[in-house]
Amino acid sequence: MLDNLFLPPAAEHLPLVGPLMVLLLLFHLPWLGTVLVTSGLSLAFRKKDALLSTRLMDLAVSNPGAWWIFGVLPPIGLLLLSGQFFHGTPIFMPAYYANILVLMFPAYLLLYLYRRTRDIRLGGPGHLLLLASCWFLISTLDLGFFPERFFFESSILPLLFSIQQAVHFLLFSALAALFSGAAILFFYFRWSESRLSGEEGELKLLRILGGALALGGALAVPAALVGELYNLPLPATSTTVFITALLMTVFAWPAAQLSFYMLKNGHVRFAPCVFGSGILLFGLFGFHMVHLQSRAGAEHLRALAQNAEAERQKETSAREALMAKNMVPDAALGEKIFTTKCSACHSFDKKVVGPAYNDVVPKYAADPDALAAFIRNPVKKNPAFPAMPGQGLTELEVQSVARFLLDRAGKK
Amino acid sequence: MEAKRILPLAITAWFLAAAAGIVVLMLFWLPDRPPVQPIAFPHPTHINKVGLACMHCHTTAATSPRAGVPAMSVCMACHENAATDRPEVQKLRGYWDRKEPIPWIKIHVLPWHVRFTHKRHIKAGVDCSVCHGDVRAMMPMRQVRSLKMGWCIGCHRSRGATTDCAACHK
Repeated sequence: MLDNLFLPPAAEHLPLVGPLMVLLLLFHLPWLGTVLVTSGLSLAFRKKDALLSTRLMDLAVSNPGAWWIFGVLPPIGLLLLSGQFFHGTPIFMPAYYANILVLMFPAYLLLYLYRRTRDIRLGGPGHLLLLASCWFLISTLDLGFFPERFFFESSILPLLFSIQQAVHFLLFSALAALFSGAAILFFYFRWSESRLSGEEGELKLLRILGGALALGGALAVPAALVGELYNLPLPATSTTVFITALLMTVFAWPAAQLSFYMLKNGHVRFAPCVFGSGILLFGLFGFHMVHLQSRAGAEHLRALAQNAEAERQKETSAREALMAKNMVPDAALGEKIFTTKCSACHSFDKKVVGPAYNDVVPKYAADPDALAAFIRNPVKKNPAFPAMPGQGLTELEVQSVARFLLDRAGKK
Repeated sequence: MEAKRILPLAITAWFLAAAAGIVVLMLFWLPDRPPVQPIAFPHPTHINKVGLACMHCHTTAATSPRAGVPAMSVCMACHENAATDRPEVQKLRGYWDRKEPIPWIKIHVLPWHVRFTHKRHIKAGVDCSVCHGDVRAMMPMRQVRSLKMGWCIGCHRSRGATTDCAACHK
């Protein structure tokens, strides 16, 4: 019933839904992961090193535009797209995304206030709420490629706590650590707009922290991927899924090596490369999740496309019926339809799949409307023959075929 | 000093091991892909275009434990004359003429210790798609539910059906 809030997707829009979801995830997940990691670290270093704590908190959220572009708009977009993608499924997916927003927006507010006031009573709950909303987001993405759960997912607990979900969250956390480490190194040490100036001793901890996060994250990525593939549901699996996982492993490898060299040699020369591979990895992760969803829901998507096409045909034939009122049935058109459609199963003088016209059509000579009604909506008449399927003809076509059949079968 | 030289190699080895793990998992998955059937039977065409209901061909689903693969005579009732120019229909014709059964590959396989009956599920109003997915859009036919015990139990619980061991296990 709630599905009525969303229009069913049009056939032309359907292929866009998946790529748009990947794009939104690419905008949302790296930023969300960075805020999650840096706010957690900022809270941890709050007493030990206040300056470091402030710098960590400022990394992803110092620009107010970032909240909107990366934090607020993409999840709303995901909610709307999920309404289209999962239209007609037994579960109402947008409600799950709405739950995420309910957790996420207060988290943003609390973290925003924490950044201004440095009050742990705001930062602590804010961080926990953000963690919960990330967990919920990953579970909802997971549910998307578990269609067998759609039919009886009445309880939220199995959705939130499963091995597969935990492994996916590990993968997300690993990517978040890699990306936020790379972002610390890139934005605070290489990017000219935001480069920090200060003593080497003061910045050393920040540099080591960035390098260690990037290295740890990159090392955890392949392990999480193997765990994820081991637990994937069968209908979601495809060769593309494995190839994406291999590509992610390939791109995480230079990130790990370069982070290690930067840590070992005490420089930040490779920070842009690691940052770039972080973006690439998140892009692949988004593609991976949406591909799993499309693969598991392949039949659902095809059915949606069929429904959209049927809807369009219904509209066309309603329009044509309106026009046909003023048109005269044409036996020539009827003959054309007979040769393209009817003749596959019917012949005039002999039984094929259906009965011979010469045997059955003359019965309707006195009542042409009954013949038209049968052609429009066939019902089984004679148990000796298989039921005739509806042919989806327009009103003018129905009348024309009826005219042609009566003319022709009458003559012989 | 020694450790610093070994660590980069260890990192590479770690990634190579993971890549090997992914390849091994893929090799394990390959046999589970939808099999290539002797005839590429299109369910969508028969359901959407011809308008046949599931039980038109799977005649025993509502009355016996097995849904039943239709006899070739069911196919030939229409295909004696319908769409005879299609290569897949000609394959069917070949089997029919040679009086050979079509070696369909079974997709939904339950373990031997499970006693499953279609009849009871259909009587309880479970739609075919709950277990078989959206067959009207499925090309080729594939298994889209795990058919594992947890999945069965989940559905049984949510519908208030029995969860007694002996109900399903031999």
